[in-house]
Amino acid sequence: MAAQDQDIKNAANTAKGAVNTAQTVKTAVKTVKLATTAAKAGAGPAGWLMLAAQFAPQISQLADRLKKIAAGIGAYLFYLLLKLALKIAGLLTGLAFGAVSGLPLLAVPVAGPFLYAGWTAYWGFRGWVDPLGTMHLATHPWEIFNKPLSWGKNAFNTVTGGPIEVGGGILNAGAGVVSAVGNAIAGVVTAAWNFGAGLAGGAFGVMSAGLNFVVGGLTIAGVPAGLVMIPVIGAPVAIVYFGWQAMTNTNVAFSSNQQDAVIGGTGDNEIYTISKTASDGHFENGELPQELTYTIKLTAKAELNNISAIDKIEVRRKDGISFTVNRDTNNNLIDPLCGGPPQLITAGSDWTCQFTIALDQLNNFKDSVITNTVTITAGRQGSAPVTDGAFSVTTVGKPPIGCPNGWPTDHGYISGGPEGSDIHKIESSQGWPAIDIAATGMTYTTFAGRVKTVVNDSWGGGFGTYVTIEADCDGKRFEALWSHMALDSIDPAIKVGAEVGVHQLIGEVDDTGESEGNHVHYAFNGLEMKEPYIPQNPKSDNCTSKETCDVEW
Amino acid sequence: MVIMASLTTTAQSFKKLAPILLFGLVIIILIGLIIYRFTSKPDEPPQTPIAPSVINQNPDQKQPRSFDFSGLQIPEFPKKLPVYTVSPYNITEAAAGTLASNLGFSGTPSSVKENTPDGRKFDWDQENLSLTVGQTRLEYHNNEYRSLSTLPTSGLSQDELKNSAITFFGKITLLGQDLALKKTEFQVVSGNNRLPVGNFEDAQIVEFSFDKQLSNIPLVDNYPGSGFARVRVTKDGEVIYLFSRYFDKFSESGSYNLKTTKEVQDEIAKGQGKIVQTEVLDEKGVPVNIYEHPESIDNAKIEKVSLAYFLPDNIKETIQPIFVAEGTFKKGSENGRVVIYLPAIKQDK
Repeated sequence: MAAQDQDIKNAANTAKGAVNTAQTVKTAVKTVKLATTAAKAGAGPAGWLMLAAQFAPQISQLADRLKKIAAGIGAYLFYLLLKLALKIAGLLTGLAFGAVSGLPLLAVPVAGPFLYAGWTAYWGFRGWVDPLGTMHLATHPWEIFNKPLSWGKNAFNTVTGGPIEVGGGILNAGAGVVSAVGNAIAGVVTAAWNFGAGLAGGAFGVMSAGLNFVVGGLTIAGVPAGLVMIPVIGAPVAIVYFGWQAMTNTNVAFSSNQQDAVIGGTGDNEIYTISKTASDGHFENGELPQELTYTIKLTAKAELNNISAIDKIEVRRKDGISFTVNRDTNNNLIDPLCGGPPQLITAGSDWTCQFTIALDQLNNFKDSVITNTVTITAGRQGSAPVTDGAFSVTTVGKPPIGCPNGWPTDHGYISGGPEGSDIHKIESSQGWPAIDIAATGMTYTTFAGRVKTVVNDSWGGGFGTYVTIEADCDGKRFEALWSHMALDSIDPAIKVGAEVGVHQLIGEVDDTGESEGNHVHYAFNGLEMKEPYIPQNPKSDNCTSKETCDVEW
Repeated sequence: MVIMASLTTTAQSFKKLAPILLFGLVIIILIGLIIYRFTSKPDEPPQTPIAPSVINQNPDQKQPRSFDFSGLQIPEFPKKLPVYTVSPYNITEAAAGTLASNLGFSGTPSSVKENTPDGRKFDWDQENLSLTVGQTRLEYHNNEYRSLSTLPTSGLSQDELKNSAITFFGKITLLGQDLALKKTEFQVVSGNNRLPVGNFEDAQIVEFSFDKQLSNIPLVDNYPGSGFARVRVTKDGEVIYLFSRYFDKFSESGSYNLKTTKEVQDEIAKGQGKIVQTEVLDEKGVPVNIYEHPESIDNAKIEKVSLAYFLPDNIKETIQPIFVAEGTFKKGSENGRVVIYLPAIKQDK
């Protein structure tokens, strides 16, 4: 077994080499793309190359599809091989069983040899059905073609496409051919490796089956019938195990996508990644004054233009006061970041910005949470801009983490008080007194706690897309609810069971569920909906509008 | 003597022919076996185990203390049903743009969001109109009505409003033609919410929910009130909201034995179903709260059990049949309604 594993590893390494070659080809293709971009400075013969670069994304998509087709064919070929191996295993084990169990027939006068031959042939043809009924090894040979396994079918379904798909057209096809060739080569290599890996796995399985057959044949005389099943089950298990292992291992090798961890949230999308790290995650009050250095790194996956960056550093103190930090230690404005990002970043390149702020006055930063959020908007030629963000959190002393503190949105106003309608009242809401906060933009945690419920739904029992978070406030367990958020907007860090910090992004304010107008139905269970758990009480508890509630921030 | 000689000759002939006859007999038997083998159906393979659908119940919702099945008449259900896999469309920016232009939007998307739970999403935001097109869902808003001080309660008839909704659906070719009206709700705007009213006459907004069917069985998600598609229409026939899912195709992926009606009752009684909806209703049958908070239920009287297909949150999972048990409960002097989902596929032990 160890030798077989080694053989598989060797085969996998060889294939990885082939894939690396393919990657080299892809890199070369990227280089050609860069060259076309560079040709923008010129004109004439290079013009078509400029055009090609513009349509490369569409062709890249086409190439991805080709890659999937190739991978699907590879998977199907492996499947066929697996089935064939099972047939052979079934034939051999059936023959063995027939040959041994038919021995008494030889004692029949005259007809004995014929009966024996017929009996053996029948079992060879029939194959063997294991007594547990868990695995049907061999039936009709043509089942190999007419009854594909479900995953074999799925491999093809993934490349079927939909009727509304809009193709690129001849111009696109011609223009992006360079990219397509590169990706297609990679796809073919992947498929070939999948097939090769399957073949190798299958071969090991067949070898194992043959061996088991011989062993089974030798030991069958005098051995209880049940033990005969060992080779019968062992062979296909070996085939499946080696084939699957080989394919799984290589697939992992091809698609493994590791990412370094950073402090805070990281943005990752199709055209860029954005990360933000803070030099420290926590200071004690006594350690102030201090300096805190932030590093922002924007990595382009595709050529980026029209780049803008907004940075915001917000400090929220335990006493309810919050403010923003606008200047760094050199007294430069933090926004625009490092004087503003470049107007163009080529694919694969980075832009890094670093600045330091001073936490120099104890009274300002005592028992506070410092949240730095960077928002990047960037586009690539021919498509709409993509906005993404990253954040980092640093705490000082004993920040306001246990009890709700602050508003769940950066801006907004109370549009409905805790007695403003029946649905807000504690007695008619199953103990969830609430206020409505009319706002746009994002909504954030107001305390540190554990995520209890995450629902991403357009209706969600009236709440739409919502989150509940639980924590202990002054020794008392409570929950808070943020609802009516935009579908699919919940931050990936907000998962059931996740520990969250103060002012951590939850999602985007919207009006999913039974909502009219963008607002957060903000509710507590186990706490009163009033100061100090919200910064300011509405003018009257039964207010129903901005004017009557009279609280805006 | 002649006869004896003849018999002897015959016997000797038979003796000579015997091996050939025996051989022929063996061949016939073999042929018979082969024919039998070819014509008989292979043994049905045993049911491949399948993980039951992941149905979520509010963590604060407790099971009823007891169940009452006395008024329940369960219809005959099929013994076996297929499960399905679903394939989404591949919505490109150009395709989303075509869809958007059919709904009155122009130009490129206002923004594109990558890697959302619904894949790549395209947003249009133009004056009072907004549209979000994902890979399996779209959401449309027309907020022009919000500029009115009050929404009228008079206008078109209920049938005319329904036709407005269906006509609007027709502009979205992705949605298909097989949606069936499931529920009609009458609502009024109150602050930041829409509240239900019991009749068409008092309503400012009418919401139509539509179901999709698989093998003539409705497809439901974790929220029975949700529907596969929903449209809101003001009384003047203006479509102000549309939400719908869409998928390229549903493919069968094996058939599975279903639980018997007795097993269904036993499992529900043991609290193995998932409570997915609880509502307290007023005397007109209208929910007293628009939000479905968990309810404490002493006794749930199960009145109806039906079959549905369950669309999981993660569409990479299979779409499996479930039993939908609907019942009532008492909360003080008020009546409540409870809906329970139970996976329908029998799990072989």
